[in-house]
Amino acid sequence: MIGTAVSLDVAMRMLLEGAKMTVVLSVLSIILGLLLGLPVAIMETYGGRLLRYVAMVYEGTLRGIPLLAIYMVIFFSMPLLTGIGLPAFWAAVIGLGIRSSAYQSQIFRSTIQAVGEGQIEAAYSLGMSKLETLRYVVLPQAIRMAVPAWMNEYVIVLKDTSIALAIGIVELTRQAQYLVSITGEPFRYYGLAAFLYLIMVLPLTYLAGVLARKYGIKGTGGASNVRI
Amino acid sequence: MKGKSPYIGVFIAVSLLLAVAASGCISTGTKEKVLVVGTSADFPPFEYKNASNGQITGFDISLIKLIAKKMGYDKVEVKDMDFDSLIPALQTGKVDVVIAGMTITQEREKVVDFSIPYWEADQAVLVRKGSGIKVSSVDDLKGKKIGVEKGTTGAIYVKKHLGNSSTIKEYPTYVAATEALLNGQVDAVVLDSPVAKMFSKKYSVEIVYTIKTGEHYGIAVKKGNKKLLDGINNALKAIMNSPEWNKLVEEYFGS
Repeated sequence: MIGTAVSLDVAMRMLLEGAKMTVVLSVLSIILGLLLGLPVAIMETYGGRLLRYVAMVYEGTLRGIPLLAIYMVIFFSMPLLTGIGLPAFWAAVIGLGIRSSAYQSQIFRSTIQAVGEGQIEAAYSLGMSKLETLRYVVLPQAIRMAVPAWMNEYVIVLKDTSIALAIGIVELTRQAQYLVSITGEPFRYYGLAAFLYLIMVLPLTYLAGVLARKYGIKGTGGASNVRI
Repeated sequence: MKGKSPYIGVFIAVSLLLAVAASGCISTGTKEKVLVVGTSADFPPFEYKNASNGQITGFDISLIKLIAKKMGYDKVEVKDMDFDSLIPALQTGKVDVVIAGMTITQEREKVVDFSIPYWEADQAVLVRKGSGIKVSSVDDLKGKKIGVEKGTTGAIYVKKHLGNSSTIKEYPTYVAATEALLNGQVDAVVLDSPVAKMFSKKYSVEIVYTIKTGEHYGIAVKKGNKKLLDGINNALKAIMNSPEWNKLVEEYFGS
């Protein structure tokens, strides 16, 4: 009931339960995004005209639609059109995952293109095939260079999980809404939720810096110096 | 060109696997008769989350549980979502019924079917205590900044009658609208009277006017689901004519 006092204990339990959902949802989404995003990036850079076109339409469309609209299409429109309905949780993972794949494809596309032309020509002149060049020369560098931007993308995905409350996912923000509606104290509970987001994100930003220094390619002036 | 397709194929295969694994989770495979209820648990005392046990509860939830029991269901499964998502959820079969303090309106009746009314509410005009704002008709709100919860009948009413003459600010919840009132972002908030009454006890706000809209809350089912609707109506009638009803009202609205 409104005005009910909730002990900090109980409130934190609710919020942490929500935070757990936030983490699970974001991890699954970023992985799905990686599994789809990297091939899209390769298609855009190495594909023939058709593959390149398909990849561009894919990422262009998904980057151009708000996440909430993507959710509405997956959760509400798809079942009407195809008869296949996904449970809210998987609709949330797929929506966030494919949206992230579009952004991740652009991260990887830029780092794939950043690998020097000279290296690729050198690989060809050593007799490496296009695939071997991609696998042994381009991707190892491209993926390392992508680490900081990729971590940043993860942070974005983690924060965007809150949009999934629209389709019934009880994550951190929704738990805070529950607390606000029963206690009537928005400042306290939205504040606590914001604080929890921050303490989830800050170690990640720190980790991104560490990883960038560890895996950055020395002497290229690229990833090793990047701060996110 | 040819060389790299297996490379991509592996990624796509893994991604597809993930999607298939996801869709595998749809079927529940139980023989229990379950009524799936959609609500938006931020509208106390009709529906809210009980902080001590984490369960969604409230007047509406207790009512639908009584109805389900009378209709022979073994279990009620409550799905909570955004108020705006409830009707799409009903249309796409994500939920069987919606009970969420939902007012029966002509617009909504075009897309869903409603039960007989189970609650009557009006729209209350809430202002800060001591603000000196006097309202004796809706026209007195002209030129004022008015806060509402988006998607509610209060919002629809205010937009229709004051859309051209007032600044209307929409908030995601009633609490947010009321906070905005306390902060001075808006001069008045228009919201359902039962909630307004509770807010006037909790916050430094007062009800200065009631817009007699005579709204009725109803239970919504998918358009054309006559069998379910008839069952709900019969159970609802029986409950409203029994002492159970008064007990329910007392439990959630008493003192």
